[in-house]
Amino acid sequence: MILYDLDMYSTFANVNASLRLAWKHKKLWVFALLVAGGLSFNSGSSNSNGNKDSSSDTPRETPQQQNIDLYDLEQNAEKKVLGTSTGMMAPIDETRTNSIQNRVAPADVLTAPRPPVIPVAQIVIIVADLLVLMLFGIFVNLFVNAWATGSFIKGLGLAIDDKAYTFRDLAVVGRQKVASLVKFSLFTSLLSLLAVLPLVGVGIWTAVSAIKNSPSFSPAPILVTSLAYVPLMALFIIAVHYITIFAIRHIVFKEMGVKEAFSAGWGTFKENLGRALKLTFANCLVQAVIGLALLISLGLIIGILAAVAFGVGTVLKEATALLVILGILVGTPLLIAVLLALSALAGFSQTYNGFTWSHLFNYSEYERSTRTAK
Amino acid sequence: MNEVQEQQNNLNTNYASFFKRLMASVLDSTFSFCVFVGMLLAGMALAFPNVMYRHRYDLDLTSMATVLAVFFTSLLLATVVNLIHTLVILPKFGGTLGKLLYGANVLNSNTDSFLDTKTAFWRQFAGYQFSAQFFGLGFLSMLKDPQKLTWHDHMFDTKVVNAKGNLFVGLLATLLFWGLLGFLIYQLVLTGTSTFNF
Repeated sequence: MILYDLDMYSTFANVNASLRLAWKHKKLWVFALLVAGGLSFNSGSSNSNGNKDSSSDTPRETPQQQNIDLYDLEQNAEKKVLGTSTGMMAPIDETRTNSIQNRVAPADVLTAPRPPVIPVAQIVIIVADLLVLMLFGIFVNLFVNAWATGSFIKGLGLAIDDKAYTFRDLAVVGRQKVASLVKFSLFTSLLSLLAVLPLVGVGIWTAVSAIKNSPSFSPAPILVTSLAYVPLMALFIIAVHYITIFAIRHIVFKEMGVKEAFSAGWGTFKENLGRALKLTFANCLVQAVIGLALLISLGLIIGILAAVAFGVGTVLKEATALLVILGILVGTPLLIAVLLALSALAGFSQTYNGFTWSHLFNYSEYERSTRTAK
Repeated sequence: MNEVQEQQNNLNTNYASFFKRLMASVLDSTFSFCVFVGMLLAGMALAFPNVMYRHRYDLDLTSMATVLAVFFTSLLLATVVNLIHTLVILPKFGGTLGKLLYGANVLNSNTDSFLDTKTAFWRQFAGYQFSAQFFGLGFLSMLKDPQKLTWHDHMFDTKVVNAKGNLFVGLLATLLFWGLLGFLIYQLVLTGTSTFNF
């Protein structure tokens, strides 16, 4: 490969070669897309129309009570109120009095305010259900993403070496590497979480102190922490990102375990810090150009369509039904075409990105092997 | 296997058509929806039992929370049923409900045996996602494939062949399930409107 015959690594040559390979190996776009893709307040009492109280949705009533009337007066509160308001009159025709009462004023005005009923059981069930569904989704996504990553990285390597491959060949490798890649993914996620935890802890402590209006409250700790710790945390997370790029290639190509791959990835990153940063900048530039080209193309298409639609609308201004049908007939395939193009662009972009890092990784390994040989 | 033997094998194997596989998927989806809506109805009946006494509930916090609890529990149970459908029925009987009713079996390409659970998991979860990219291009690719294999069939060494059962039975089952789904949705709407005071 041209990159490895050179005495010096060239970011420009890397970008060139990667763009050509990404365009040539369209099969990898699908894997790239998968890799990128990858969680009785109680109303108080009855209403004026006499409907059921919300607190009575527990099965307390018997059918007989239901049949008496549709009004719903809470046994304790409403009857006491009835007694107060109609105490001068006896005997009380309860049915008539209640219907009068409901016409005169809603019962909730006459009853004492009740504390809101928080449906704890329901909330627990909702949270438990959501948790299980989320965990299932995360589990499946983790495995599918790891499989796609392993297949994709292997595909990049075979493409760089100009070797033939099929979907099956890549899928087999992906399945073989799933366990290691899942463990690695969990390991790096844990590292990132641990990095963020101190900041979260200080934030919570500051918020609690502020709420309690504690005399000892001071924004100084959070400010100091933010100024000193956040840059370090950001650097750590960025470093983990770069280590991951190289470590997963160590896992796929060198059959390394998780810790070994992490350590090797750190070594590769250290040796290629300058090249990695240059490549990141170059990739950002390339993505920006691709994005700009896409925006201009989309803008042109939308502009042309708008002009055509305006012209057609002017001619057919009376026939709105025809306009709608035309709009759907023309618009739908166009929308599908645009979405397909966007997917293809995303796949191409991710594949290009993958090739650049695989090229850098290969060059680094080549450099190390020649250094060792000497 | 050499090329001549492979060609002979292709001629001998009766691969399931695109239409059959598509309708089988439609039937599977309809079945899944029926399970979900059925559980939702059952949940609503259990959570709001006084509806049978023509009692209406106020649409307050408790009722709304109860409805949400019923919804998410039904979703979870339906997911479990679908998981069993995919990871137990498919490996054990050689196909999902839809495929079996339409007369198709999913087999290992190399051994002509039913799939094991791991392959079934990868084919359904990873394989379907893969084939679904670019508006289902992986599924449509079987139209040009001589063995009528999709991308996920190629990846996981599977093939879908004709088996017992036929298109007519499958179509009848699809219509029945559509009818059932329509009925369940109608009952659900009816239950909703008669349960609460809006």
